[in-house]
Amino acid sequence: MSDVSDLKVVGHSVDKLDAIALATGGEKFTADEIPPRTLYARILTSPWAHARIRKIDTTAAMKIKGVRSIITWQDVPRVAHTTAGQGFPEPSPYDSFTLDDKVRYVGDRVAAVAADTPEIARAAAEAIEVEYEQLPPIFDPRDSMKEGAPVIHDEPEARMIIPVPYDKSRNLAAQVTANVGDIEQGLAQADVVVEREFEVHQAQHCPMEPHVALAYVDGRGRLVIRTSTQVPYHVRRIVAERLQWPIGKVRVIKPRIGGGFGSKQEVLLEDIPAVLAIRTGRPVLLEYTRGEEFASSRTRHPQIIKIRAGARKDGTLTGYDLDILMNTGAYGSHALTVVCNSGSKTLPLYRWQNIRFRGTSVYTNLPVGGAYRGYGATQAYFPLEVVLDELAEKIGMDAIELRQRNHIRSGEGSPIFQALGEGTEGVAQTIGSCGLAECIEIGAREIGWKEKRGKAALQTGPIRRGVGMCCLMQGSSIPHVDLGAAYLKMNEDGSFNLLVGATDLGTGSDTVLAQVAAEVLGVPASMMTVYSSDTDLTPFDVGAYASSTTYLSGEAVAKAAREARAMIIEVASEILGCPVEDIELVNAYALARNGNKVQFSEIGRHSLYVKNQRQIQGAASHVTRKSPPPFSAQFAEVEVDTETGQVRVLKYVAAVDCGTAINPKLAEGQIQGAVLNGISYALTEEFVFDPRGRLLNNDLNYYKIFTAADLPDIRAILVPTWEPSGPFGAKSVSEIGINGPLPAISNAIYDAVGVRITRAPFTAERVLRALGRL
Amino acid sequence: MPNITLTVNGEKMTCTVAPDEKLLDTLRRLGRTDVKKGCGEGTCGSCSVLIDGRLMTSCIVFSARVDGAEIMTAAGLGTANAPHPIQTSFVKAGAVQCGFCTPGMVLATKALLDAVPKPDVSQIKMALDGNMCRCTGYVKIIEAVQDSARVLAGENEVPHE
Amino acid sequence: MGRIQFYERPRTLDEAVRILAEKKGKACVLAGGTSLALRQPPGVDTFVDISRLGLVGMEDRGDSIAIKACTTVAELASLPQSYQLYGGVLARAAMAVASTPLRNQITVGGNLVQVMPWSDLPGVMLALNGQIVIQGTTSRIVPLKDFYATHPRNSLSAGDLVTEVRIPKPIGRVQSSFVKVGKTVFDYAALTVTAVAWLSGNQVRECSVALGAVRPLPMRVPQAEEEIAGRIPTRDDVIRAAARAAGAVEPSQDYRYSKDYRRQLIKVWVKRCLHEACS
Repeated sequence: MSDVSDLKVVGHSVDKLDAIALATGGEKFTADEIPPRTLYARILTSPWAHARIRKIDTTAAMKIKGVRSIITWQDVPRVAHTTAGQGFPEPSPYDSFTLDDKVRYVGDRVAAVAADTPEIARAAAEAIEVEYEQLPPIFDPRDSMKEGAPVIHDEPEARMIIPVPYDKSRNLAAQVTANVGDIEQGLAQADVVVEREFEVHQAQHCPMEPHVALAYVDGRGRLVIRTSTQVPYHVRRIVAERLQWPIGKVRVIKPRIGGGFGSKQEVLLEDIPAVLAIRTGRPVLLEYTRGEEFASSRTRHPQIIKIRAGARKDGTLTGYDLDILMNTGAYGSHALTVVCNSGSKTLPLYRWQNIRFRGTSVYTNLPVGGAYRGYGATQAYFPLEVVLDELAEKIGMDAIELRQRNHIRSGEGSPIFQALGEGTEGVAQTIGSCGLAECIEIGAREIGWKEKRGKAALQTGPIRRGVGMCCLMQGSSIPHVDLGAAYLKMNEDGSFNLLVGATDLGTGSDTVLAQVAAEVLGVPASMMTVYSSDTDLTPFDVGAYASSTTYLSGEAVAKAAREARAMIIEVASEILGCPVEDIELVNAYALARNGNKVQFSEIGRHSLYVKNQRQIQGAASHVTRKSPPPFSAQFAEVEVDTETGQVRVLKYVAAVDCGTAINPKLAEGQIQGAVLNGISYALTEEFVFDPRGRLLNNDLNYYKIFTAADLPDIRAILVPTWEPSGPFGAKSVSEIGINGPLPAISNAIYDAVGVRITRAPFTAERVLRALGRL
Repeated sequence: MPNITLTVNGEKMTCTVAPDEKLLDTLRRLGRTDVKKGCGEGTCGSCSVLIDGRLMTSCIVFSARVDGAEIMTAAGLGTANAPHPIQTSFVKAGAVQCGFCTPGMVLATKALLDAVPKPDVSQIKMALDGNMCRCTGYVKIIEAVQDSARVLAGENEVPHE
Repeated sequence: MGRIQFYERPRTLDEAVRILAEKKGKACVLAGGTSLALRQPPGVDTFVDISRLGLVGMEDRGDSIAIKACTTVAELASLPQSYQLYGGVLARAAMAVASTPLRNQITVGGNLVQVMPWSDLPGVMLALNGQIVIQGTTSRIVPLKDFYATHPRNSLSAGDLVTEVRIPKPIGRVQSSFVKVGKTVFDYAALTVTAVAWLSGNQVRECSVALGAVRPLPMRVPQAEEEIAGRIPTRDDVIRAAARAAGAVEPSQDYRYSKDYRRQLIKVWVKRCLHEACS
């Protein structure tokens, strides 16, 4: 099979299974079910960017009526770990503790309180007396590795558990290099060379539901954690390790999740309510306020990126030198893998003859970086795609043509695939499906490239228009690392329960996985009841990250469904008295070649009650061998007010090849959401700190994300291809969209007003300065 | 401590509230967990409810101030087995992703369509300007509003619960 | 529990004023409540809810119209007079305030009295020569020009209640322009500009230019107004007026915008608003 035309469920926009319950408010999020006697937790956070806790006195706080427990670093096991919700062994440094006697950024944990009400917990946290010895902070990552810089992780326990560069004495959290050919030779052979420095900024995910976790000890003495997470299995493992509890005595339940975008691929809160629940014997809820979500959660890692790139007049790309200094903040969560991805997800896109890549992650005393949709690719596509435009201009070639001549195609590989993985070596692969050429063509037509590009000279007045574009790829899962698993059983009415470890955080993965199973089984998706992510009930899955769920967990579901399908056919052959080879499953019927048929409800009843009773079921797991990239070409049309610097995106086109879109409407929704997040990030979202390292704009009034009123005309166009290694030809879709706005808008600004904006975000003031008018 | 009476989704209830208690906290305390808390500052819109037909962010409305008011939450608009056409349109349009903003979004839509049955896109955008969504990019939400306007135009009366 | 212990819901204006006076500084007025929900003034233990005193809507006061204090910004935006008078500048400014749910809650009186640097209504009311009506221990009518000479919190005493704002009815043909500049639509303003031109034929008889959000309090810019008033303004007049406005104002500097950038915004937007109002 290699196209979707024969498919009944896959490739169709079935309604998201939980949508009606969500739209009517019936679904339960973590904080929507509070057991009786629940206590409310609050974390006291550090007012200092870098300090040692000399003394901590909880006497006054404990005296407040309604305070049940207060914990400081003296009350919890000292277990070095990473908060990064990654597979074991995690490629992030073990540099975090549940509580510590040192604080490393404003917003870092100092102590935690459990009390009868949130107000009491807050008052008690404020009443804890802490004596700090201030230490000199580092705020600029350029200072982190300077001689004599303060050491942020001077504790003996901090370490990497995999053999990769890590030097806490120099604040080096991670380093990666990769070389193809000889960069100096490549640049020497170029007719034109571009050298530029870019800055990509810190940002917050802003899920509408802030982090929240509830913990209690059940009647059997097991620790139950209900939490808003993308990685329930990693939460179980990492919390058990931190608390030194057996994994078998921990249950993690993921209810509905109010968005994550990577911020919840982090074991951020769960240990605190767990410890407090164990100490008090009562359920404990810890909810981040929006302010804490900004200051004490995770962020997009900011990067300073130096580029040297060369091309010959004929469009040959002779060399690309990518040098990244990444600021991981106070802890090294995802410090290695994000910077790896900055190389691995961008460098294979074009046929550079020579490549040098160096990524360095350093500690600073600023809020902590983490996983954020795009995961390093967002940062590194900005310089790559701007520099390509500049090369094209210098050799007098259309920006699109330069890309068309050089982008990777189906059947091709890249030395980078093997050189760079997620913290370790990568996996060689050749590209299966690639619809990038079509994406470029369709997108260019949709934006009106030929009519609009390079027309600034013809415009008059203070408002100028321009168009810009970029090309992108991402990946689908982490090959040989990520595991997804599924279990499926048939009920006596012919309906099915699908149990998956895969974690629907709002993306619609429950629905997509149900469609995959339904397609295999020959039933409508409405016959599937999906239960996702409960470590007691569902099989393992690494969780929702690395653009893996559809491609990886989808294949696990397909395998489990094929097992169940074989059993259904077996039972049907018993009922119909015909060989299994003669049976087809169509629309909840088993059809025999002789025209006889039996309904699934009868098959279900037969299997459970009538004869040769057994549970019709399937269980399977899947590990991928490759990480096929989805591709995208994106186009922005902007308006620049040359008197105020204000940039407005008028139209944005994202043509995306995600292989088969299992559910086109949900796939479009992923693209549209990612693109708008990217536009808002490119234009307005920004962290601003005071000289002490305190975040000034820690709310949605001052940290501006777009609302519907700011929405430009966004066109998401699916360009179908068939990825042979994916379930029904599918690849990933959810991350790629966010990578485009930085370069596409920057390129469009250049087209409109002739200045290259290389520092993000493109605020009005920054653009006006670049125009030389301020 | 003020005693107040609220009619929530048609159900009349009396309760005692602290003088500075917010409606969001009162509603959630009373089990109305379809009203979500996203920021507590009146900015994100997740806690939007209709108070006497007007859209407000319940996290910054003092409960005592709305004594005697009729409150509608998303569950009052419709239920899974008897959804309001607006809710159905959100499902059909693919406008629901994580769904945390959706209870507020459908109420913002209700308030808009009650006032302007046939809104144009810019009216829709402005009507939703206080309801943030980080998942959808709003494109399908706007389509859902347009679709529900069409569906509702075919009926004389909006079916209330 | 918060510090607020008492919730008073007076039935009449007199009762409200009495409670406020009796409680001295310990009571504060609750109208829409959007500011109080986030922050309560120190020392306050009582809310005095004035939302049910009938202080809602517009009324004709002969040569002026009165917008009552508890009229919500959304109501202001939807009143026909807001569209009809002064080229609809009241409606435009009202629609620029915050977001839909907040416009349903924020009151005109609250927006004028709280006067955060980013409040969007004070500037437009100031440009329209509005007057604020205060009832209380000493009832009085204060031109907004004077009302905003210092922060209202300094000039209002414990027993004072703002009950309405009066806007003179326009005489002759009047054109206007309003703009709010922000990073997004739902944002605190970097700047608001209101420009109003009272015309006789092509001549601008009188002109007012008011700025919001660039300083802690809204302000008129007479330096710009005098470049326009009494003339049939040319493009150069408008540019000169805008330049004088930018030169006359010392904008606030904060992490959102630099002083220089705010000055540039004034220069550009005063020019554009005057251009619109005068042509």
